[in-house]
Amino acid sequence: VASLPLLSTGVARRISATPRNPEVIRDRAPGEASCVAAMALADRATVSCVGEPRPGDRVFVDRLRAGDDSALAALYDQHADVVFGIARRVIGDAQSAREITQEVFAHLWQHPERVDLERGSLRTYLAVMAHHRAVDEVRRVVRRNQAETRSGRSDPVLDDGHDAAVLDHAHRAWRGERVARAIEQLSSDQRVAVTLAYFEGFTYVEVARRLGIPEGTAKSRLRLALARLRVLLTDDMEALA
Amino acid sequence: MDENELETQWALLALDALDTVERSDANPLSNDESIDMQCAAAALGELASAEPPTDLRADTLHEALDRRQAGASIDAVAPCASVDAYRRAVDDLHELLQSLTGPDWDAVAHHEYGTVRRVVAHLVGIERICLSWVGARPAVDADAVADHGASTLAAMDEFEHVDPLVVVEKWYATAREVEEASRSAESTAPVLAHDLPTNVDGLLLLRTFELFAHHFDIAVATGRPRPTLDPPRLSLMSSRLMGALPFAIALSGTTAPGRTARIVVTGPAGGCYDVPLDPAQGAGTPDVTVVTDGTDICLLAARRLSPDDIEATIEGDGQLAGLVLAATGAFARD
Repeated sequence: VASLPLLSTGVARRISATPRNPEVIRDRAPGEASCVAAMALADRATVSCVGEPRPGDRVFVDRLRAGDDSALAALYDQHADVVFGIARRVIGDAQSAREITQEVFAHLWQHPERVDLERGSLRTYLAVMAHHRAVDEVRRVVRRNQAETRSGRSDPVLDDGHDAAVLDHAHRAWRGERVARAIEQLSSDQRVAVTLAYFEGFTYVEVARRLGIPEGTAKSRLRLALARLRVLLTDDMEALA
Repeated sequence: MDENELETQWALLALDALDTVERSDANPLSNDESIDMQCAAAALGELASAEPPTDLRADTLHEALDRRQAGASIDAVAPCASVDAYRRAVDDLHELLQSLTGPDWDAVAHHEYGTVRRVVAHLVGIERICLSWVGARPAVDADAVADHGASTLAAMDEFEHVDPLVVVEKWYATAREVEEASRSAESTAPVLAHDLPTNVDGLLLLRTFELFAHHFDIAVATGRPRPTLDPPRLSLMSSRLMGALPFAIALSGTTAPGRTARIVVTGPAGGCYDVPLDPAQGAGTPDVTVVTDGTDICLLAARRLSPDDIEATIEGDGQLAGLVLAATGAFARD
């Protein structure tokens, strides 16, 4: 060794592929009630709470912070199914689901410091982010359609097939016979609150304002409605079985 | 509507209602409620889980890397200059030494030099040699100072019966002389530090590692808090160590031509480095990834932790990782 290069710095390089490693979802002790709610819907081994961080989650976040792109690739391999799946189900359009999947993982890469593992696992974080962004997209399209309708366009012209698909899915999803019947079985107060929150895309604060009730009442009304719907739909499923 | 469709309907309803409630700023949920809701939402989302298109992976990773370059740590901190790092290491150790009392001086702090008082005397000897290396004193015979420990035996004997606090101040004054002389010297001027060919800047970096190591030794021996590194110093030490790691591997005689290790340094001033395991070659696709803390990797380089002691996550060729970690301390001269 002629001279020790104690002057230079290292460089990071390209992505290295990591074998797919499907996640085993585990129950989370503090959220037992949520687990029960989820498990009541489907008695499947793959469906349960995902709150507790996996032992490797902390290391993955550290690696993302440090700029290790192979960690991002590994996380994609582990969690893209739930991110893409949620986006596609909510929006009903594969192209939009692709975009949301890209957005979710790009956001994770850009801002790993925003992951709070005290609040749940990385998978939970990604699933919630995917859902938020998908719902935003649906609401954006629905509101635009409503605005166009109010402005006198009885037959709104959609930009492309993507928007049409989004609306079609949103409407189709809520015209389901059994869901509609379950909603009909709610009390009128609950039904109005749920309808405003979902069909109209209002936040519960906006729901409270429109109904002239306190925000806390709106929140509890939505929760009670949700709990009631869960019972009704679960009963319905059991009847089907 | 089949059963799956019904489940999906329910999942969407639940997800949206949860989302609606959670998004309020006016009446936020408690932390526990929020966590429970997120947990429920994510669990329900599992119902919708679906295999993504195969080409989406590459598109997604490409999109992400367009927004933030690979290897760019979000915790990046500009490294300080080597001379400033050395000065801070001197001040940190001086502060510790000033806090020591009677029995502390006779605590065994080093396997070769012995007690704390002898370690401090050893440092006086080293600073004197450094003054020669940076041109502030007449040159020393390279053979006479080739061995780090042996070259300070005279100093250790000289101060054996001197009040330790006097020795501390002697060391501190000499170290400050080294700092001043280094600031005046050309940073790229060549230096043969014992058996390591480097330059003034590299010498100061080596000394920073050494002072950090002896601070660690004395802190452990006297039950004081272990030393910490401020982010600019940690950034300097870890990044320069990573840059020199291929040569450390060569010094250790464990080169692995064609192989590359990715070292992910976590914590403040962390970073991600692809290190070729042969200094004659460039980095390729990593064969192994080692994730470890920045302070730990510096202690490993200073040989104050062994590869088995550090907390590291290893993915890939574990044997290769062992070679890399074992070579990391090749520059340490104790």
